[in-house]
Amino acid sequence: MTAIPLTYYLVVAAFLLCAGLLIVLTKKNAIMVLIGIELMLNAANLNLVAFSRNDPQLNGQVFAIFSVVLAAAEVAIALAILLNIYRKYNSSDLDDLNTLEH
Amino acid sequence: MTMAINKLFFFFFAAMTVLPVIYILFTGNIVRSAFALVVSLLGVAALYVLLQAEVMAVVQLLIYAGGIIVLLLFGIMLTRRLSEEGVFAGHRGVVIGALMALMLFGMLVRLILGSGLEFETAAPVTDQVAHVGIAFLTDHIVAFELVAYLLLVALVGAAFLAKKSDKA
Repeated sequence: MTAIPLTYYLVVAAFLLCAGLLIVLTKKNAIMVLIGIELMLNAANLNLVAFSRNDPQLNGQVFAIFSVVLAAAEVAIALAILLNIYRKYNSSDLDDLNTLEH
Repeated sequence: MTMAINKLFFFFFAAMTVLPVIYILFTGNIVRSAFALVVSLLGVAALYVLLQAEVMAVVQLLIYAGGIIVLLLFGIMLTRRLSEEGVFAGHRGVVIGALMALMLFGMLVRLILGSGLEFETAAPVTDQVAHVGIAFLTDHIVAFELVAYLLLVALVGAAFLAKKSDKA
């Protein structure tokens, strides 16, 4: 079962991180930005689990499960805030939220 | 023989993780991006299985592919009027963003491939559910209780924020 090197998993995680970053930077819609954040969190979890594969304490997996729970809480709050923003500005486009801009 | 099958599975699920993300990068359709994200998250769950982290794989399936995606879809449906053509969102700052992400990816890959990191030789834990359960209720009991309160507060807060009222 040890045929796949650790570095392969790390490269996949690095790709997820960079793609998530790119989505956060370039997409205009707030929900797309949330999707990008989810991808970056997944990259971190994949790294944690990959590094703790042979840990008899399973600390990496426990940490990753905590991080998944926090991601769920984060998405719930973010979507509630987004809903309020949509009610106020009638748009979920991040470029429209420029009330403070002058 | 088993090695080749292992590699085949790894590359299949890595492609299942990576290709939908590339689709998300290029498409403007938000609903399709959310469903592409489901495929990608399922691929990550399969990678967890290949890493022999069964508990994490099940958690990924239940919370990410089940819960978070449903929340995201509700968010999309509630904040956009669905038309016949679908829901679209544009891009901005593509060149600079792509340049930065590519540079970061190049540096990370260079570092990872040059690091010579390997799996340790110790055998992975087999009965993981028991181990994770015991770890939650002994070593990580404080964090476990705090996360429980945080989740409760966050979900009640989200329900309150999303409530339709003039005062909120």
